[in-house]
Amino acid sequence: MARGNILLVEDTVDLGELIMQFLELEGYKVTWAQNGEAAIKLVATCNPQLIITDMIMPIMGGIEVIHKIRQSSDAQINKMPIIVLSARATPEDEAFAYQAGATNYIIKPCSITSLINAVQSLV
Amino acid sequence: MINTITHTVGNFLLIPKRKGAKIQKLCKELAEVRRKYELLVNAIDDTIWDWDITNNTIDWSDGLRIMFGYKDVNKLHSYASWFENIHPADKDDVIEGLQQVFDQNKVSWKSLYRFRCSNGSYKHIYSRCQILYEGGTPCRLTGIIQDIDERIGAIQEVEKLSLVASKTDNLVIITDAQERIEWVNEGLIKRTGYSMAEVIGKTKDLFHGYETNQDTLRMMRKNILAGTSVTEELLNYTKDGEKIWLKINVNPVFDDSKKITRFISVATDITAEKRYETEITNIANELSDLIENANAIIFGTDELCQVNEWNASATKLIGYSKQEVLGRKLTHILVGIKQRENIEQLCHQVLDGTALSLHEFQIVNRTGGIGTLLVSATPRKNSMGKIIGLLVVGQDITELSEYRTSLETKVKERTEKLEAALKKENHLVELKNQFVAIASHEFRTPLSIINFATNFLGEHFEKLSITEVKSKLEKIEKQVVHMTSLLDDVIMAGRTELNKIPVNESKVDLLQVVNKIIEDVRQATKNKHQINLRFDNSIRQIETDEKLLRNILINLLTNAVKFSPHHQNVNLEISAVQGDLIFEIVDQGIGIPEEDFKRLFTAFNRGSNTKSIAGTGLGLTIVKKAVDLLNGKIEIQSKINEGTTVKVILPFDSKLELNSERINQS
Repeated sequence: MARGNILLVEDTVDLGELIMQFLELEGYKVTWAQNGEAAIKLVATCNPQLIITDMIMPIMGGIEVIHKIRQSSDAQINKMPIIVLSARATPEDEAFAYQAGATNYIIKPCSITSLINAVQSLV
Repeated sequence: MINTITHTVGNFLLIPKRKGAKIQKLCKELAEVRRKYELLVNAIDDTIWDWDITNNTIDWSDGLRIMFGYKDVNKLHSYASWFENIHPADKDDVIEGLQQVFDQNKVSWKSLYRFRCSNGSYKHIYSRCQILYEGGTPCRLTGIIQDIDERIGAIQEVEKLSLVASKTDNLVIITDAQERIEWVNEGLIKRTGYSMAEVIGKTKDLFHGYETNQDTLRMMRKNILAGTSVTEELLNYTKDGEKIWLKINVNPVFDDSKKITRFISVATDITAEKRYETEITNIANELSDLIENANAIIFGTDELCQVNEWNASATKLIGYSKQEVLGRKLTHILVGIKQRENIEQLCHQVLDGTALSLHEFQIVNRTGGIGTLLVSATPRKNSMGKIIGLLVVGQDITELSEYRTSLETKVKERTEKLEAALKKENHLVELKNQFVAIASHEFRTPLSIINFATNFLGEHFEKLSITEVKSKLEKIEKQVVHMTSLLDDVIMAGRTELNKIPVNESKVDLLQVVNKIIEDVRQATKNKHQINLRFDNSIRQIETDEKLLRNILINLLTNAVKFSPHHQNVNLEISAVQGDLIFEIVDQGIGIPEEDFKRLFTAFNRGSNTKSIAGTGLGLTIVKKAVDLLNGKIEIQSKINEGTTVKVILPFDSKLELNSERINQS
């Protein structure tokens, strides 16, 4: 039995692969979308308890993903915790993400331990 | 003579007529004598009288009527009637004189007295007569009366004048026709210190000395000898040698035949005035010297703005001498045509009574040189307070003004330089900030991958297969390569001067190079797009810097792919036209907004519609630099959401020649 469902949104293939591998080893079921648009489509079907998203991606970026989730009419979806994993390191970027509705903001590069800890605290 | 005639006539008058030839002859003679007597009496103005003391009768000639106005001669026929008309104050003198003459048996009598005219006024008369005696007793007086009223008046006038002359403060000298001094007044004695005895008989040269103007003297003498009255100012000397200035009026005096008999000089002592005048003149001279030699520029005009003052400093600055400018319009001498109206207006303002203070204006000197004058001007007034011109005092501030202008220019230049430097600095700071932001972002993702991969290897190494370990190590290596290329881009873009980048050209097979580039781009962009190449086969070997060409094509193709997320096709056409090698890259992507075109090649600058697409903002910067280094051109056309066409034109035929130049230079 999986510890929980996680939706991972990341356009960098190598990074996405690594994060997925780690989370699966920790016992989570991971669904991986390579951009925001794909993520929004998958959120209804994969039934995640947590979303981990990158910020800058083609077609739809992380901020838009947060907005769409928070604006959802489904109470299960719009309350969902969202961890932002971003290469944008400035306090302004962080504040912007929190304002949009992010639950946690982790700046790249980070150790895998700190990411796992953040995930475990939410799921 | 007249006495004899009168006597003879008298005798005839007293002798009774006799008959005969002798008598006839005598009568004839008598008639002749009477005629002569009457002619004589009529010819002279004097009154003739004949007093018969024995009969107490007085006969009068017509002179009685003419002289005293008595029409009826009979009224004065007696001694009493004559005596009655003598002035009461003179009566005693006349009777006394007459008695004395009779007592002494004198044959003539002269007397001056006043006699009453018919209108009651008195005339001064001079009476002379002959006296006849009979037996020691006077029996008859015959004489003439002269009217000396006018002469007496003149005498009195002279008495009065001489009184005035002797008492006046003026100096009076009377000389004879030979200019020898006859008389001087007290005033002259007092003022000159000479005694009367010392001056009488001398000429006026006595009072002249070394500094007496000889020309004035000659002129005076010439005029008075010609009979003209002369008034002149002349320096004279006292006996002690003191200088006295006299204003002398000399009048010649004529006798009846218009001959000069004497000269009367009346002189006023004007020494004090002269001294005052000299002092004033000295002060005026000093002042005009001061003006003339003043360091300041001083000039003046009349009420018509025509120059009437012009000192040496003005001459030095403007180049015209005083003689050249006198009477000329100030504005025509001082300023250029453009300024004339303005300066004329200022002049009139001063002439209307408003002084001008520290006004600065440009002057044009004689040779056309330009200077700057700082002036103050005041109206000039005459003694009545009327404005008759203006006076200007100025200072040549040309050098000061030039210095000021050059200083201003320098300050302006420095400010501009400083502003430019500041702008550049600001731009660099901005670039640095952008670089830090973008670089940090672009480096963070590869670093994350490396970090996660090493974490993975560290935690799960013993559980991993060789293939899995290799895969992780390859990921790390790939990110290192990516980061290295990113660094190269940053360094390339950061180089501001082109000549610091070496160009190494060599013969390359263009098709082979281009195919390799397309393959690399496909791999980097995960094969999502179709890159279609159209290649002109006539181009094979070219001479170029392969690295720079790669920079150009990789960046342009990557951009075309990156910014066409919804379209798969990117076209690359390579052709040779008229000695140019043309690379045309066409996509159907998001396009470039018009407002972004002006900063297309600026480092770290990204299109306003590229927020969701990762990038450094260095691509086109690097392309532009590479194109410039290869002496080429780049043209970009774009339309939002329709796509972008980039055309790079590199010189083809002339390349060898250009390259050899470059090599020689470096």
